[in-house]
Amino acid sequence: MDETSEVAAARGYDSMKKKSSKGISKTFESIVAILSMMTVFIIYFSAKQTMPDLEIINREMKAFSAMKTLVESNDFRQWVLANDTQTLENKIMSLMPSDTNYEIVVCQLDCAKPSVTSERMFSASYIIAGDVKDFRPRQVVLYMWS
Amino acid sequence: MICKTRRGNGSKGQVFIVLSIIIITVMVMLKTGINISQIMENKRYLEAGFEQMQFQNIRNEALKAVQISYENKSDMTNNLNNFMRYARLVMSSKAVNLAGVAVTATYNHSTAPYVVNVTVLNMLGTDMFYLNVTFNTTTAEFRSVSDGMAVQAGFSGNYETMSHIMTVFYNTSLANTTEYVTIPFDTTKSKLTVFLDLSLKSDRSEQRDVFNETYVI
Repeated sequence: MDETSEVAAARGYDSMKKKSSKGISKTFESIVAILSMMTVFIIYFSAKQTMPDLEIINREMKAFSAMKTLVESNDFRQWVLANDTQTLENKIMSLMPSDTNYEIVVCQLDCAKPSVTSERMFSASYIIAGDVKDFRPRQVVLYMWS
Repeated sequence: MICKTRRGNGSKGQVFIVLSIIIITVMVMLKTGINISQIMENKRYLEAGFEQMQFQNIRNEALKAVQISYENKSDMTNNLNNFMRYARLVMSSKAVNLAGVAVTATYNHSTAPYVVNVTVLNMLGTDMFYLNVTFNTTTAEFRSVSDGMAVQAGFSGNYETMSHIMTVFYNTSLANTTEYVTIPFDTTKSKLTVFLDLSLKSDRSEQRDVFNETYVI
């Protein structure tokens, strides 16, 4: 082996050594990047904060307003006292969004819930004192689920 | 030339760190943009608004209880008091506390001396140790008026056609309170005056309304 080929071999060895150390540093840097992102995720996003469901309270208010609108007509009281839930449902449905299921219950104090298995069930109730010459306090409970 | 190439190759590995910094910055900005506390505040505001609607419902129906009993005048006061008790039970089932005092004063068109009948319903959620009802210098005194109980007093005299102020003083373990009830007395008419001091309390909001209405009966 002459002097020139020895120098070339030495240079090749140096080059391989440098490439290998660059690969290690790239791996190290990518690990640092992943670790730093994970740290931020864990520290900043781990605290449990459930997003409040504004949709439910909005629907409840809409249902209450619908019943308030209907109570302006004297028929509403008659339907309630006659426990005519079918007419009440038909009237209220025309004032409510169509993407929700409804059931109306007229009761005094203990109001039976609909036999529906839904985790997203909510309700709004409206109290009436009765009708002319017929004092019979009742509550109209509008159950909603989706 | 060699030096430049080395610098170029060396900086490529840092792209990961630079990218991670950019991603973290974007994530933090997104998280800050979604202001959950503001949304929670809006929800509380909506819930308080909903309770105010329910309070208005009770207020209006209390008066309706009196109006629908018009044809049976002797039931007007009883029906109002029964409705208030009922409304309190309904609200308590929703963990909302309805409290207050209901006063009714009735008098019939007749000849002097005129008789004014007053009923006071305690719905404060606590006993009244003392209850004094004063109408035109005469005072009716009651002791230990328990929660949910109604007491009656009759006043008679030669009253003139004018607005009289009746005072209702009561003492509980929490406070001494005086309510002023305006009674528009008219010797030519029979009237019923309803006075309500109502409050609705929950862990979200507190509503209160003091009002009186007079009906010719």
